[in-house]
Amino acid sequence: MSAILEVDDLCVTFTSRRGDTRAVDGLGYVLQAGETLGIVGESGSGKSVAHLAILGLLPPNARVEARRLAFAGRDLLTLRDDERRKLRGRDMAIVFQDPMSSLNPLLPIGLQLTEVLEVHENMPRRDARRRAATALGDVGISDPESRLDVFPHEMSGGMRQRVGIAMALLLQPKLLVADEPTTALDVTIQAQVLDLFRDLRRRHGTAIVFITHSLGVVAGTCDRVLVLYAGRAVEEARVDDLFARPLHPYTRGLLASVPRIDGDVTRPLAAIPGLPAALARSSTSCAFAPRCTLAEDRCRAARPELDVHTTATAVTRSDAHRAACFQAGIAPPAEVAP
Amino acid sequence: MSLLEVRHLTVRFPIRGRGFFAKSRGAIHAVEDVSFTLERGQALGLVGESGSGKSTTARAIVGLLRPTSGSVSLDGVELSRMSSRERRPFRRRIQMVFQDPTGSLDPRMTVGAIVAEPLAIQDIGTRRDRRARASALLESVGLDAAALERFPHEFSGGQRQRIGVARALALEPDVLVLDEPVSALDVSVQASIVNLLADLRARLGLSYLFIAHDLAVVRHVCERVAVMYLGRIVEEGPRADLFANPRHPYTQALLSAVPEPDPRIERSRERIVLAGDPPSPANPPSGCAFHPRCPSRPMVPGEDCQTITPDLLSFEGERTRVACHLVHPSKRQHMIDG
Repeated sequence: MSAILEVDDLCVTFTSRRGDTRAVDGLGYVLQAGETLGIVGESGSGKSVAHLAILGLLPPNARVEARRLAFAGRDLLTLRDDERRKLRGRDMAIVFQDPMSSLNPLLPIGLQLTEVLEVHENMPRRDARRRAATALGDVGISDPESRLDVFPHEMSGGMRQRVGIAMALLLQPKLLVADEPTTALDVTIQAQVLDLFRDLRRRHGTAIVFITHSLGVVAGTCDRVLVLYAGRAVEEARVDDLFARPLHPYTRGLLASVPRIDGDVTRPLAAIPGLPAALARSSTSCAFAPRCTLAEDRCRAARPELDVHTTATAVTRSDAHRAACFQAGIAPPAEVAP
Repeated sequence: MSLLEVRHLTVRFPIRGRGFFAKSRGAIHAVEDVSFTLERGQALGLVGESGSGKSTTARAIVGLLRPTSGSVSLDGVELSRMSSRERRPFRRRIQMVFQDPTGSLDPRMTVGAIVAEPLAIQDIGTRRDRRARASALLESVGLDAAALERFPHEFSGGQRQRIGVARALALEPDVLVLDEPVSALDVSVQASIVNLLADLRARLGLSYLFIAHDLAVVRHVCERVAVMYLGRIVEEGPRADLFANPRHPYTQALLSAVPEPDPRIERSRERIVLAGDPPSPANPPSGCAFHPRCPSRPMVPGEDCQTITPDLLSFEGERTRVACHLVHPSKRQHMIDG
């Protein structure tokens, strides 16, 4: 296995006249080739901003700093803009929640797909058209040739998301960042699109970063999961370990607060008290402490680091189960329904 | 007598061509022949995907739009044909909570004024009485009386939804129509609103028509559930039966598409993935509207599914109703005999 993406101590700060706002505060992980990593968090956890920063898509008022940010061994921080642009699209691609944000409403989708091929690969238009039609067929769009002449607004949401995915995959990128790709879709359409992602990984070995707020989506698509809270990773584990033995009180709270399709309806849901912390807080306390039932004085006096808690299934370093909590090792095991 | 009775409700929106004298070019069949009852103290869930007509049904029931045909009765009194003035005394008995807690609260009004507004419109009490009542209402939804003087933007999404609920309760309604009340909220906040709604229903003896696309949430809140597809109810029954033993092929597909926050279940489950998108309500398919996507449909020419719209008929006694030719195979025999 080789590392596709290495992120170490990533910080993103937005500057404005009213002062600085830190949205991502010391995020780190390594994504291996062919792996699907889930990034879970609520609004304001920094999950999208971190990945827009990695792809170099943030506006100029965002300051991006990191100890290391590398794609397939290449340092992204020292890359020139034009080199980075070349990398993006060809080797790393992104799928957004709303496919309309990446599609031009004034152009038929065929033109938008072939443009990618013409710009990056100098492909003649006729070949590009053929390749675009194949790409649409690959994401399950029937009659792809005739669909090339259709405008985005003439398609359904699920269909547009497929076009967005087809476009991201045209140049067979090594890394695909999917930012809430199924959140706007209906559940039966979501099932189709999730199938597509699983298939993609099987067929092309694409490494995928799957950003979502849905634990159910993570359970069905990812190998490993990173849970974000207030701009920091609070837990990292293989998907089975995370759901079977969540270590961080926030992860446990999230799992307990989701109603299950076969859960006990006579009991109230276990809500997490308080409000999600919108932004990274001071570096001298745990950001979750104000909502945490286990919080003690030390949680408010120092910030816990993401430390390894060995588990039975961890084989290699990247498999390790980590949690940023002083009580993660001692706290009682999760009271999550089996 | 049922508290709320909806009979053969149909809502169609005409599609007009361009220009002043343009003729109508057909209609969007938003809601077609929907019938159900809601008993006092009961919660009925209305589920379905976008375009299934669940929100339009809700709007027709609260009187925000006039049905094309059919009736809505409250305690046996028909509301749907009343003029706005005649309806006024009944309006207070059915209140609505909207999905977007930001868009449904006037940003220039204080929370106190928002919650007391329905009382002012109905000319109930003095200013002072109304203020005291608003304070009590806020307390009943878990907000401090200090909120009275503040503005909506000072509150989080979950708190704003509490304000929306407090306003809906101001006139002591019998029925709350809740249109996706938790889907805009973060997972950890969603649970507390679901619990609040359960608590209020038990305490105040309210009846809910609860509209949502999240099946697990609906199951948690409602003891009866109706599933809509393309404007029609395809299945309706007690929560326990519908979730454990769905009869309609669409309900089966919908339930199997729900991602579960458990990787072991996700890996082992057999998922029914429907092909294609839901058809347009402007041009619904002949016969059973689900037939082009139905995985259970017998592929024989001249089958009922393509030609005859299935009625919503009782199944196994009176508890469950299903609209499917495959569940009621004797129907065709009937028609030939008759």
